[in-house]
Amino acid sequence: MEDPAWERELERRIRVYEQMEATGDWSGRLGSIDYFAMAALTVVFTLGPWIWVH
Amino acid sequence: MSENRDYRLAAERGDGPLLPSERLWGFWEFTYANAALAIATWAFLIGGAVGLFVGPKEGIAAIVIGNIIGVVITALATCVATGRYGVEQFVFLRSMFGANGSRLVYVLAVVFLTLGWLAVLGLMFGHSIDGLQTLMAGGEVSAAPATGGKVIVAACGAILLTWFIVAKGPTSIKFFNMIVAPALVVLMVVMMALILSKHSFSELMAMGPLDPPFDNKTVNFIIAIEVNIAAGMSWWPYLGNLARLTKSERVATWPNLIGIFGAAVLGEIVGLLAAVALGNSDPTIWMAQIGGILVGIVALAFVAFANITSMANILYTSLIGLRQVGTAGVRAIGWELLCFLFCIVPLLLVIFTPGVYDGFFKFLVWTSALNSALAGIGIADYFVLRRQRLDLRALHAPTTDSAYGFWRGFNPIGLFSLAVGFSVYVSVFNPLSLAHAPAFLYLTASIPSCLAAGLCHLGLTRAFARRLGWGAYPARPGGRSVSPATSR
Repeated sequence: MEDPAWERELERRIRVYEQMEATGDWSGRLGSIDYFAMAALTVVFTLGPWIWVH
Repeated sequence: MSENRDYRLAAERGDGPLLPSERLWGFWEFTYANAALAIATWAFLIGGAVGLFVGPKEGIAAIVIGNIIGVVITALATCVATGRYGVEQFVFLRSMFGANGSRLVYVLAVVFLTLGWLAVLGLMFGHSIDGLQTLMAGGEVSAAPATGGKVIVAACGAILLTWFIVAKGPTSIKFFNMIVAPALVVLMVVMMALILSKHSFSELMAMGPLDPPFDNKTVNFIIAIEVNIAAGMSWWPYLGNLARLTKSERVATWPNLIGIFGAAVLGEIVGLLAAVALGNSDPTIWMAQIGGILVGIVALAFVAFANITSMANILYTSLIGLRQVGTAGVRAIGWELLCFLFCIVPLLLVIFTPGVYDGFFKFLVWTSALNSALAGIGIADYFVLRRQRLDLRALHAPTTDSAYGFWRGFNPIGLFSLAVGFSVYVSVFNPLSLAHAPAFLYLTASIPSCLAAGLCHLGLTRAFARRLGWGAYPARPGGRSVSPATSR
């Protein structure tokens, strides 16, 4: 987009994220517990039905 | 104030990242939006298709196994990054395929998928109307071939009606969505109650499949799982752009496991049980038989209506994306004309290949050959190579200035890896003939395709990309990348 006003707005938006990245201020970031829980859930929903039918 | 609103609208359309304060959806809002997307008539179709291969017990297991694998992989590949940075999904893809490569992926993954689904759902509408007419005339609905003239005319009418609705804008679509999703849940509960009133749970679990293609039960079971992994992965083109509207990375990811997974499993199980209990995988046939004439008329009328809503949803989403990734020439085409141009191929498919409805699961599985490879590349690139860090400036810079410019806007490594993943898929499992390699019985086809594409992308990027100056990949784990666009 060639609009200078939008370019400034885009820059502002990018800086917000750069600031968050610099300060590590990512609220609601997925942590190792989330990934572990997701993996565990996948294993349970895969092995559980598999065992049920075999 | 007005200018701020315009900027926010531009960001919502995908021109820039949405700020955390602009995100609309919390956990339950996103769960509802996901469930509304997944609770659609295609759930009945997929459930019925599963009933062709395996009986209800194995079918329920295959539905749960396939969907959890497909949804988790797809959510990791698309929702984590878009949920963190608020970027449009195909803008995010520039980091792994380049801007032009992202356009190519859009055409392959979204346009083809949408064209196919428009034709399938249009034909389902045609069958519903045909069945409705027969019931109202006091007749009995039979498994008529999809090539019937009335069905094709009604299917074309459905596609043209969808064009008309989408051409008018999104307001009517949102209204229909608010009615259709909860009403479909009610319909599913009624259907389930009707099935259980005629057959006990143990009777249902003892039933066999409708039309198993192989004598080997394990092969049929794995094909049923593969169909469901394909169903889970078929959300790949859509999930990222919904996830960017959520308030955080965690909110962008977990609701998929309730909304998409839970709702799709519920709908497919109803479709499976009804198909096996009534002896036909086509929802427009078993709905007409399940509860007498009155229930049949209401159910078929509602399914016809719900199909139009689903068609409008996917057409609208695809067109929004097309304008985002499209060239200036595409953006210059008027909205109504673009809508109509998009409808031409589905119309031709309906007229010349109406059999696509009966073999729709083959089309669904074909899409997984692509989606599984895309998911593998997405996970390898974002989590392993980039360590979950994106250069937003490079994502939004013109190709010539961008650190994600790769080679003329294409990342040859990403696209080659996509081809590798696709090739692995079709060499392990042929969706058309259902022929399969021995490895299919242990790994399915989507999982090796996902792994092959991801590992190929990882290996080739580490070997060549940094040396060629492609993609501004960090030099070491956690390292900051320096890009031409960033350093300017």
